[in-house]
Amino acid sequence: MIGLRCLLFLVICFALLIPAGLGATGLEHNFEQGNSLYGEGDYAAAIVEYEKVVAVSYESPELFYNLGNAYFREGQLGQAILNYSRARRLDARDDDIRANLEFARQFTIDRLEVSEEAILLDYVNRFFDSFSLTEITWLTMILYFLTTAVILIRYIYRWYRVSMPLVAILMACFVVSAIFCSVKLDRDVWTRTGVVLAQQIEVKNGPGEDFNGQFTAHAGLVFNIEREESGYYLVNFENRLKGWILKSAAGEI
Amino acid sequence: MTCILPVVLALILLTAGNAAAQDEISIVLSLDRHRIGLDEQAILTVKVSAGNQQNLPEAKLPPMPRFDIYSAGSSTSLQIINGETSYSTTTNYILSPKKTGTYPIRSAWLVISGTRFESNQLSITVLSPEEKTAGQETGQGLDGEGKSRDLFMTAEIDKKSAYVDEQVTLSVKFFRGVQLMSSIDFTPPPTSGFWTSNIPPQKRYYETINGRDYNVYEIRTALFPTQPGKLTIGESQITAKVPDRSRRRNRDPFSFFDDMFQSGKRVRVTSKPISIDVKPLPTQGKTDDFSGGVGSYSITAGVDKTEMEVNEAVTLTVKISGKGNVKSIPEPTLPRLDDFRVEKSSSDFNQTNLDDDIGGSKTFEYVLIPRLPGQQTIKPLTLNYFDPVRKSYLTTQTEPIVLHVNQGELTAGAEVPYNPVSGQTINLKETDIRFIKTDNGHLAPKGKILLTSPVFMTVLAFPLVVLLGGMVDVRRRRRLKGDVAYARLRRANAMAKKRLQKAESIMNDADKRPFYTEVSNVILEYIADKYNLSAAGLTSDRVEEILGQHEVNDGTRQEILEIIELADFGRFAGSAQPESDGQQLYNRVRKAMVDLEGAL
Repeated sequence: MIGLRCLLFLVICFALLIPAGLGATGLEHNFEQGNSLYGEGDYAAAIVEYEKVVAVSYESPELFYNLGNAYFREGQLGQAILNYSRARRLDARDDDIRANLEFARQFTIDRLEVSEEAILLDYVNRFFDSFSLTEITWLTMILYFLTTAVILIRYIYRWYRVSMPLVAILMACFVVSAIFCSVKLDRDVWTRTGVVLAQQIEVKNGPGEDFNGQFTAHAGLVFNIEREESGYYLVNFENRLKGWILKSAAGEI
Repeated sequence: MTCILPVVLALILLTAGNAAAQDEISIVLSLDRHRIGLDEQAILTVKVSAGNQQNLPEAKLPPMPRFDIYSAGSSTSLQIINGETSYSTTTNYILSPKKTGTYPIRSAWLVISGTRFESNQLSITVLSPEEKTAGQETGQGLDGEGKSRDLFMTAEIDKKSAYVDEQVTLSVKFFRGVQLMSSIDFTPPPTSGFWTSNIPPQKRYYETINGRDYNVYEIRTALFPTQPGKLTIGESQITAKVPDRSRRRNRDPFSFFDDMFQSGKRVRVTSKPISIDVKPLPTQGKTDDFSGGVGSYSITAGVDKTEMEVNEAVTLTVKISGKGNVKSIPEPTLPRLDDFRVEKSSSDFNQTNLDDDIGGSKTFEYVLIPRLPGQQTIKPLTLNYFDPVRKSYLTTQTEPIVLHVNQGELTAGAEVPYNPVSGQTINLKETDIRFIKTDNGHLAPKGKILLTSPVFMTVLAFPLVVLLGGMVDVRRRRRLKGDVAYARLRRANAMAKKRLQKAESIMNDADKRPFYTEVSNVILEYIADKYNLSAAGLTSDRVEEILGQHEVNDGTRQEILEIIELADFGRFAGSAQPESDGQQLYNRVRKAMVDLEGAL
């Protein structure tokens, strides 16, 4: 009886959690319009159509991917990398997104010299990047439910057919998954990253026009955003350089 | 008496014999010369003669803190003169002075059978090189006493001051005026603060100094100072065995055997330490692109082909060559090659010496892969270095290289076309972005993060609630099992309902008695269950008492008692009761039970 009620409750909760695609019909039209314009080679018009969807805060990996393509064709490398990166965040394992992002990155002018430590970190990053936050969240939740279920059965209802190793394994998997999930949350949500959109922009040593330029960054350069102040981002580059970038010349992924 | 006498005699003789043997022990110290220069050595000979005693212990030398002492071997000799045997041991030591002055050499000593034997005492004078030359007109190759020396060493450098990383050539010469009896043992000078490189070959030639022919052995070393300031090149040292002339001088006609079996003496010669003034590189004219190289260099660059197709690799070779410490020259900075993919393939170092100057070349190879067609130019590579001869910073550069990159017939991206028949290896690379996706996927409102949504958080609490519920449930079950009163109390309502249902179902039966029994039971069993009593023992009085105890209002109490009475009556009257009474009673029971449930 209790089991049945639990199941029903779960089903309702899950149904609530699944993002509904309501109200997207008009936007789908924009998306398709963009695709056909892209097919005709009118990339600028395609960008306009895709951006209409983005403007009303709707998103999908395909949308960002196509938008990235259109920007790439228009020669806007920064925008292309920005949109591919957004697409990647939503769908971590899509091969097309990965390929186009890598391809676009070849055209960036700035090559940051990164330490060996950063190269090692790159492998870790790749591992984390191969799953999306939603996937990890689901995995963690399922493991959480299973773990509590086996604890309930074995330790409260004392049904010892649920073996100790099973409980231990499930618990370990849950802990690992939860750690993974929090790391991913930190990387994807709490850590803000951005891309240089302008062809070239001076990275200044303070938030304002009057501050001295430290060096020049070019379109497509990726950075972490530490904070923002009077229209400037305080950014960190991969090689640990730090500086202020005009907000309007950059885009947040 | 007669038997004691020989014993006493024998004892006296023995003691006398021993004393006689001990009397013969003598230790003699001698020096080959008593005045030496600070950079020379004296040979101290310790001779222990001891009648017929063999296996003498070695004499202990007096402390001589002003000298470095090296053992130079020992020899033992046996002499038989007029049938008397005598042994002697000669030990040689080389004394190398540390300071000038006149120093006494106290007695050497040794202890045999508790008796201490001591030698004569000597004194030695150590002169500074200036005193030596002032006192006597000695020249190169002459010793402090004006005699020409058998062995000596000199060390020279080609310049007294140099820039950091500029080559200084050190030349160490070993002069030899006698035949050596052993191979020489050379210790190179300590050169801390320098990077060193040998300059082969080692030269051998003859030189005449003060009329004496010397065999000269020259070793040259290139030194590159690594830091500015006053640096010192320490003394080099050679040890070798030479014939012992002091013995030969007073030879007697029969001592020619000495020449055949002479052991020679071990000598040590050193060169003087040299100091050099190292100047830092001038700051004037120094630019940011200074490579750090000191010397004279040239840089060249070349490619293996000037015409190629997109994605076809071309090798760029950059060579830096010249005089100086080439090893220290870093990799040149390549000009910007945006339209190429650049991969470093190798670097190579080659040392070649031009006479005494250390030099060589460093070669760097890069693989360039052009990305775009058209005419591409590799801009000149520059090398800025310091020339110590001209005392200025100079820049040398390569010629620009022009490459013609053709689009090629291949499908874009393939360096080698794929041959499906031979299945040959290919090196396919993406050369364009992939096409757009036509499936719109799931367009969804932006920024929804499952993990931080309130619904998700609520769901997360669910298993905990279930766990708690489970715990409560288990506890309740355990209580039901062990506590009858509790179990009855918990069951009372359900049982009452069941009985009511049963009563209703049998209400219209022909035999009314079971109905009345059930009605009675509904109330009595309910009360019995509630208070864990036996229903059989419940009388109307007892029921009234219980209801009174629990402050059930009078109306309800009255009603309950009435129903019990009616039911009892009905049970006995049986079918005589009219149908309508049954229905009415049932309704009253139901209502009374609701009231009772609220009251108890």
